[in-house]
Amino acid sequence: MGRYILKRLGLSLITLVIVSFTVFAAAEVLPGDVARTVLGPYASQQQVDQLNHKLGTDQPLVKRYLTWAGDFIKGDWGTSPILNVPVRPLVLDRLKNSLILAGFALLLIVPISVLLGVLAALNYGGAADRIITITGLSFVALPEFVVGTFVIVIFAVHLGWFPVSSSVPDANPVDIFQQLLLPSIPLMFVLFGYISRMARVGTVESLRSNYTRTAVLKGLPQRQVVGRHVLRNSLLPTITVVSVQVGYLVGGLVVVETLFSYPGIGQLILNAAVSHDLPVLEPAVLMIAIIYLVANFIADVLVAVLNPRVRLAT
Amino acid sequence: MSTVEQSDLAGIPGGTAPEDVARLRRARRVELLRGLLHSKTFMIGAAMVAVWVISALLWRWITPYNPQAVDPINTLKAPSSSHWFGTDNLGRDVFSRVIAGAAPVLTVAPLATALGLLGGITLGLLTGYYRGWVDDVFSRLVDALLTFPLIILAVLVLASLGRSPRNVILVIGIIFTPLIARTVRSAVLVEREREYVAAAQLRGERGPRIMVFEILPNITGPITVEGTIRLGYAIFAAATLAFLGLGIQDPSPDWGLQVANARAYVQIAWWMAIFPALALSTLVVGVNLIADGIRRVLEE
Repeated sequence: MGRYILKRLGLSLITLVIVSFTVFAAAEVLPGDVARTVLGPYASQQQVDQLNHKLGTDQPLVKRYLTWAGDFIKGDWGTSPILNVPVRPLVLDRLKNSLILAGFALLLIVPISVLLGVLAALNYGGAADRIITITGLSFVALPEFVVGTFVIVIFAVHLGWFPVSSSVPDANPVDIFQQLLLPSIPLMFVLFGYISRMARVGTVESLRSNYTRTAVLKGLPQRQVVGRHVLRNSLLPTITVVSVQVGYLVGGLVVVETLFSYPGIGQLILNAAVSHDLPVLEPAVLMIAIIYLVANFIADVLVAVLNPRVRLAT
Repeated sequence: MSTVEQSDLAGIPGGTAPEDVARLRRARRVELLRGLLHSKTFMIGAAMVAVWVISALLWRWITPYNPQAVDPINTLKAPSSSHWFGTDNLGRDVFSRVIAGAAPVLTVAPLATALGLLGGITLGLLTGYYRGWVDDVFSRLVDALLTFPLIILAVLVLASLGRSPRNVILVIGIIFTPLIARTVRSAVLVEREREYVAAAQLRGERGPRIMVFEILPNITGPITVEGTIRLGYAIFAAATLAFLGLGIQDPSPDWGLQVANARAYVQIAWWMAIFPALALSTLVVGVNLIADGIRRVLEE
């Protein structure tokens, strides 16, 4: 077990280095001459060279990356030249807001999706199965901003139950639902599609297995067959899917936070990218990558704990 | 699937006359077409998509108003008999803009998908047929790419390269390439073990020829399904990027852009947001129904 965890941890770290380098390269190399971008087309070449030297952008890419990564690890994230605020508190605060929204969506939708996915599998080929499958398929297909627009028009504008824009909620439960329910619905639509499909497929496979047949034939009541034999095996792939969906969730947050003017990290990334605010953009995207890798790491360990075959295979 | 006849025929010493192969292929195609015509899922999807394709092609002649025409007197008017879907903040007719808005998305998404298919099929054939270390490296890279929220990647690249429809096509196409390549690769892995490939190799055919003329015609099924599914995602992505302001810019009637502009007026003019959003939903759902229909018919 210890070896398995170490190996996973090592793989996550390697991926993190690759991803952070890609982020750095994509942000710093693609726009071409950084100083030229900052100073505009009318600056003299001498001024451009000076600024490049000052910013360190005349250094080789790998060297710049190492400096940047070192500063990131030390917690020295610099200040945003555009917003004129220190980057670290800004990014961490926005990240916290996004985690609140994403956590709310996950807490609500994961149990519902798993439940309906299992229900569909138990009704394999029946009416409930078809309805759940088709709903899931169409939910996944709809862009978040479309679903978000529908819920804003219906529940905020016409019914007036929720605010049109969402802010970070206080600790009281009513406010949490008021602020977070609408923006999390588009996220939940997509999550429901993926998670319920996985739970359904996992359960169907498990129902067809020999151990389930044995359990049924030895006369166990259905509840015990499902609870003890089917679900334990069928929910393993679902755990992996939920963790992979954390990556999706971040992408969805960019859209949802923009639509609902919610001050999260997705909105921050979009604005930073559009205004070329690299000191904000890079650590923000890197934090996303870290969160994603942590989620995957936890899922891998969880699957290994639950399934001895996985941890013994490596 | 369409793979059976040819592989069996090619295994026979001496082979079968090319015209017989062609005849069998044609018969198979007719059978598939009949299957699709009988599939309710496919036909409903096709009808939904057809409406938007016609709009995209003919909007110049169908729209009651010029979709770009500003009318400062009639701004933010609710739906009525003269403006079925109301007017927007500049007095432009929302119905005309919804019809015309099919054009930008149905240009960007198919082109992006075509680019992804071109790259993906090439890469998938090469890695699946030759295997080896290139294949291993490629698989690792795809896994690494998938760990990253793709929309963030697109935002990064578009913000750096510049926001334009052309760049949206490039970004979506390039992101699709490894994803499509993965599907093609797994189809090639199955095909390359068949007798007809061995026969071609014994005849002394070279790798590229075998890939393009022997294997490719036998994996058109999975490629069609993958292409249709990807088209759905491309519409999703193109609309989302337009909504985020990273694609086509105002005054284009693009649906994503319309919804983004409508956001500020949602409390006083809900029609500005809801109609382009509905249009986009029907198109995306239509494409997905088509994909589902094709998949089912091919599986039968």
